[in-house]
Amino acid sequence: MGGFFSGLTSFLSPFFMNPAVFLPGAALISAPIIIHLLNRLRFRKVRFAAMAFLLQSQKQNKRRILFEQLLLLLLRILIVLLIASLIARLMFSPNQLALLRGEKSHQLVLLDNSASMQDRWGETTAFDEGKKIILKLVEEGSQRPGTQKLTVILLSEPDRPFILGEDINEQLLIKLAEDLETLEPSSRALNLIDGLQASLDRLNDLKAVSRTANIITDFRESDWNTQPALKEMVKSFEEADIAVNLVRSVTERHQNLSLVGLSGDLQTAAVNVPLRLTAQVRNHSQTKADGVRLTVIQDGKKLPVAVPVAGVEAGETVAKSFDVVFATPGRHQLEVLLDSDALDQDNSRFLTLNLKATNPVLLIDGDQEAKAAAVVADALAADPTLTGIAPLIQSPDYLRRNSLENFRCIYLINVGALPADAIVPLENYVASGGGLAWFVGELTDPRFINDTLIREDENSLFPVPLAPTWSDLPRASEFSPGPDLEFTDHPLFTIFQGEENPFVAAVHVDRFFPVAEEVTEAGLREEGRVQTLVTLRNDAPIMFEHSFGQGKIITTLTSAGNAWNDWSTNPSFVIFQLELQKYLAKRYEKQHSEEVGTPIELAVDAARYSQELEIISPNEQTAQLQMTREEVDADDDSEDFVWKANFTDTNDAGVYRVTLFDNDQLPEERWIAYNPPVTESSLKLLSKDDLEDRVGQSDQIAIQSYDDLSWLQQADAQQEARMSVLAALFLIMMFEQFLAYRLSYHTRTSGA
Amino acid sequence: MTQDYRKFLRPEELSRISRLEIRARQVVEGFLSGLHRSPYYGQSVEFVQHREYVSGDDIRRVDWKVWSKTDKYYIKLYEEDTNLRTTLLVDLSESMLFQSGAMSKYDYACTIAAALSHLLLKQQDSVGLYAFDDTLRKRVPSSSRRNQLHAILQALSNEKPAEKTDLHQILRQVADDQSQKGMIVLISDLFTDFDKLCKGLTQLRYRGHDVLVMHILDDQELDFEYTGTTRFEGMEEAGDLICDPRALREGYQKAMQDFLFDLRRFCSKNLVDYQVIRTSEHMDAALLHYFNHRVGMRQAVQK
Repeated sequence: MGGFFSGLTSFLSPFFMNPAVFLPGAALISAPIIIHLLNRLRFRKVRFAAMAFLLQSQKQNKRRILFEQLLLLLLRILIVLLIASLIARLMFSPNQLALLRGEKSHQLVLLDNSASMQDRWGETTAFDEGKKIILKLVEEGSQRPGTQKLTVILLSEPDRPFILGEDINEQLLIKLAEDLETLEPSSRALNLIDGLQASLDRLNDLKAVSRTANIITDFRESDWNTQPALKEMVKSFEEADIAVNLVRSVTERHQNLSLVGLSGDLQTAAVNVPLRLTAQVRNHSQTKADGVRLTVIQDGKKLPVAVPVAGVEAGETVAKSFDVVFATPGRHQLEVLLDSDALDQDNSRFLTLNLKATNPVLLIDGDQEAKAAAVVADALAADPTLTGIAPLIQSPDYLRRNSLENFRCIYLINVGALPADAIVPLENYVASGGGLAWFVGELTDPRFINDTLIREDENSLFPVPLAPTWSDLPRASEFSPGPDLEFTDHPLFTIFQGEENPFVAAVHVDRFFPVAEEVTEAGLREEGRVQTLVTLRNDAPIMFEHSFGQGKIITTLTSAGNAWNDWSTNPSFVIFQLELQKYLAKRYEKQHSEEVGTPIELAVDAARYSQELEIISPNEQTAQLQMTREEVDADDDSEDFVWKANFTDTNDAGVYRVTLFDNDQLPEERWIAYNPPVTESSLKLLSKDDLEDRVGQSDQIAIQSYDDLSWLQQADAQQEARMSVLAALFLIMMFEQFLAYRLSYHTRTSGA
Repeated sequence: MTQDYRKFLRPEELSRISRLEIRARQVVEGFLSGLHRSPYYGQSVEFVQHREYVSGDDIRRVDWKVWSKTDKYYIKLYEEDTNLRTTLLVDLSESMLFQSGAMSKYDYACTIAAALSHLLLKQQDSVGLYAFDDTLRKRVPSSSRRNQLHAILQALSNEKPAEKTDLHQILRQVADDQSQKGMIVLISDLFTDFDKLCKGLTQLRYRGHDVLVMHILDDQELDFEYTGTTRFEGMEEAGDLICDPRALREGYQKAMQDFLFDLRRFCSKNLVDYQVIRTSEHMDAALLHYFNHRVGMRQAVQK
């Protein structure tokens, strides 16, 4: 019986807000019937004389009376039913008619789970509030099971709905509460447009009678400023006759500091050599932030001293440099932390590096004595523990016999003609990203350079053809002072810029190799392949930069040592050499840092590595992957192929440890630091009015404030047919009265 | 002044008087004292018209004044000389027991009959009575003796209505019995077969009787103001009916009015004087109607 009652209640629930009230109310329809029957049973007796007329009347009016009495009874039953409907709050709308045909309304929830939804205040976050709104929505809907369907789309996965078209009922509420309990926002910057488009596509595919898109987000101004198409997207919902609820899940703008950058010259990092890192702190608040400090966590261990940062003005970014020292070679990770605030996610930044004991630099000197190379070696590593650079001075023959792969960069100093089997490995080295520095000298062979190294296809190891012989540059007289070297605006010389540098001014170049006559500066500029970095006092270019493959080549048309100039005796020489080494090595040692959400894409040589791949996430979860085989487009007929992997589960900030296995199953690790997106840090919110200005006023689009969940019930109230029922009740009661009056006898008043 | 006497003639007041004789006297005396101009002046008889003397007439009635003026013999004709014979037919069937007000139709009919008898006997007219239901129950032959009223009252008060009505048979019997022309006053609710009733009345008219029908009906029978579910148990074995009387009222009233209309039309066609009298009406209505009838009849004779 209870089951029957509950079944009946659930059947009625689409039509009544309080279906349980309706049933007892509906039972009252028996009241008029019972009264009618009682009246038939309880009558008074009259002995009557004129029965003939009475029987005649009864015979003539039998059908009419029966009809009228039934009509009256029906009307009274209807009145009872309508009153019961009023109390049970009947809902009646065209949608309900469609419900009777088995169609349902569809509630789609697009939940923003971008990093900014981690915005925390008190014991809750914007994301938690969003989850509560969903549960509330389902709770409201579950009071009328069988009328609504729910789809929940997370902004991070618009193509994979979290919930897809499930009936809203008690079971779903329980299930959803469990599922949402463990759901956490991602650390990614997400595109609201993608989510809206996916939602629109889903809803357009549905045949539901009414479709509502509930977009739960934090209404950050930066989202709407950087994505003007959002407005058009919201409008397209309106055009598709889909109601849009823009629901805010954040109370107000909260103060937030974020780390927007962490960088350093990792290419020069070496064991026990202090590595200078620079962290950038941005204040997204409306007030100045004081007492900011950085906590550095090195390989999981917090450094004892925090790095203080001077006050950061509102809206400003401050860079703070600090040194860290690593005692062991190998892979390391570094995390810099800000103190906790509203958005914790952007308070940390990660960095990985593969530290070597030393950074080997190959110095090839054509001279047997290798004096120039020694000068450079001294400049690079007078004390290897200070720079971490291990210079290796070799003759040109070294190029032919040894692998160059492990060198950070290679210096070719005063080298004559090189054999072909030395040129090829050199070209391979540079093409794969290695750095090369040329310094000319007495042994430099212009003919070899012009004929062998300079190529017609503009892909040459040497930038420009040289004049047949060197030139001297007379010392400047006292009457024409000025530095011999004119630096251009280039990162190599950033350290010398700013103010007049007495050291650089003191450098004298006595001899240099001029470029071939047919090469003019205007021609070089036009060609664009070669960039002139330094010119001499006589405007002759003396230093160039050009690319070869992925590598960079810096060519200096004077000696490295003190044979043709006195730079090596000047303190700026050491600085220049260290900068040069960093610059050349930079591209080679690419910093492995990505923004969260960017997939890990790998393509490795299938001949060298096995198919297995292991990725350990920052939360120590290990993923075992099988890479897919893919053919390589090779010019020849060889059947080379590579293993490719695409790992998309990179929603957490931190270090992802990718382990490849070679054919001997020896592991090879690659560490990739994933950092939170800087675009998610600004928590400046759009006010309701501003948002209204942007999306425009429309009946289809409703903007719901935080803490105001009345719209959840409002949807029902709009459907409640109170007025209609009242009007019907009034009309029926009028008709009933009219009929009852007509059927009953009334004495005439004396005045009538 | 005109209406004052009526307060003594209200049925509810009269109903308290148990003895029919006193009730009749009350009605008649109240009625007589209330009239402004009574057509009866003490014990005197009223001149009606002159008639030419024929041989055999009593010469004492010759109007000598006329003779002196016209030199012709005319005889004065007086009303008392008409020697009115009135026969009262009182319905004592079961349906006459119906009562919604102070008096039942039976009481009312008896009171009217008694009052008329009293009045007529007071005028030296002869009065007879037939009390009947489906058969003749009591018959009091016409007489103008002083104790005639007593006989009539006794006949009325002894009867308790219990049977159905068969007017045709009674009217035929009356027609047969009353060879001498006279006035027949039928006091009944007429709940009987219409055709037979008409037939009976026609017979009376055929025999030359002056017929006066006093149709006694209760208010409820005319107005039918019952409410609530009611079980109507028919008198005279008319059957039962449970119904909401309000729903049937219109039809009932129509049927009743049709019946009354047919009756009235029949009566007017056959020169039968017909009057519907409600039991709630003052008793004098019946008497007044009687006298109107008498006057109308006299005027008709005079013309």
